[in-house]
Amino acid sequence: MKLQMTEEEIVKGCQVGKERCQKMLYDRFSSMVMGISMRYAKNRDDAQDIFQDAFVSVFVSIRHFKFLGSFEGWVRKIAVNSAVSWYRQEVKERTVDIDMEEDIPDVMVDEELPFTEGDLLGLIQELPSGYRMVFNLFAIEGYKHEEIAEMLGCSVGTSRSQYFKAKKSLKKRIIEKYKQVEI
Amino acid sequence: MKEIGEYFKDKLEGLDSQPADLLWDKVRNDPAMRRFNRIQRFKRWSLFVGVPAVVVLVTVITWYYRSSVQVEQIPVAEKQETHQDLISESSNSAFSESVAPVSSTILQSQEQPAVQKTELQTSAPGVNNPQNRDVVYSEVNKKRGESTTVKSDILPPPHNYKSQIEKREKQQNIEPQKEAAQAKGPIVTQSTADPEVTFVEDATSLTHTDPEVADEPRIFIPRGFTPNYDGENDFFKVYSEQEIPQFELYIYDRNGNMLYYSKNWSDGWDGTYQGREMVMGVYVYLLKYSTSKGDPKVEKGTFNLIR
Repeated sequence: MKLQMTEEEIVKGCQVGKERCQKMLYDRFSSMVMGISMRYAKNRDDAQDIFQDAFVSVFVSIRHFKFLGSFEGWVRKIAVNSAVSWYRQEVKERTVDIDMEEDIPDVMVDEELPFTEGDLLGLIQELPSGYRMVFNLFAIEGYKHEEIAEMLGCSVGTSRSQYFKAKKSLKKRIIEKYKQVEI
Repeated sequence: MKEIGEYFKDKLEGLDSQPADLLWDKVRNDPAMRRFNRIQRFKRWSLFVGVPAVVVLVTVITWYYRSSVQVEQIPVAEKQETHQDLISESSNSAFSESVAPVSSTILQSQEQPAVQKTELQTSAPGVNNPQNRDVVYSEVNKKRGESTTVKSDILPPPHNYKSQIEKREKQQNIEPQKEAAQAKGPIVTQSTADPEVTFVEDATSLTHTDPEVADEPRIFIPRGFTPNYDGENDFFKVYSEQEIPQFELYIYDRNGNMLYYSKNWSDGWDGTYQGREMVMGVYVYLLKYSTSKGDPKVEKGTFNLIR
């Protein structure tokens, strides 16, 4: 019984359903997956639901992992997909938006702002679910609006407008927070 | 200044958050996880247990199949061997003992009467008086003489007839001594120390108690033959130590086509029909012959052609 196992050995162990390897994999990636889940959820409870779904998906579909590309990227993608499917199942509130076909204007903020990761995470979690999903997927995960539209089951224009509104909303909240910090 | 999307990306892309401890148990006990692990465990076990089990099963089946094939073939081989044994020499085996009467009858017709005296006393222990014994002896001798003379007229000597006689003589070398003993004492001692003497008594008394057997030709029909020109069992024929009167042998395939017919008892079928070699399989024989008394006899059965 080896204490130190390479990632490949762990993955192979998980592929044949060895619980010891599953625990090691979990320990290795749980905080990353939890971080992703937190970004996509309104609160910690929802984040835990996403987290659980994500890990179960990882373990169940790990036998399809063919060691092409990084395993971490694969786990990250599964976590995002879990978040998306969670959103599609749980969040019924669909904001109806006017489609925006033109380019989204940039919204600038000062990068020296004294916000911690926790503060920014709180800002994202306060966004309406639709905004939050699009903002996460576009800004942080780097998906294109076409992909996001397909993932969330909305039109490309909706994705664009929601992203723009999310940015405006965030900027507004940042300014409010900034003022609070200043005071 | 920075675009707000990039700003958030820089800050939050590598966000790590420690999940609650109980989440692992939730993940582990998720129904989908449990099902997956159960299936994988079953697969692993079936690999460790199932594969050897299948191997063992296949071995057993193969072994069983082979042994059953051998069981089919062994009787053929054994019987043929036994038969050859019979012809060459009579040993202690049950089969040969039952055949012994034929040869020993022939022998005894040419042996000194002493042999029969011995028999008489063993088979009819009541006759102790020398005079009575003589009477009985002469009667028996008469009977015996008749039957044996008839036989020795018809019988062609078996091919190793001479060697057989020699053997017999060797075995019965003790007879004169025995005779001498009998001439003095009224009774044959059953407690003869020499095992060979006992054997002779047994063999001869068999002849005596079962004289009818000698009346019909003793034949052997093999259960199979191998027409491969190796000199062994290349022909399907009826084996006998003596001529079989009114002999007719028919051989048919399974469809009832007659493949072979012979009236000569020493001829055999070589496994061909109209120049073609017949395939391996089961064939049917019908054998008609008559006993030395003239009673017609019919034997039928199957045999294997083995290539």
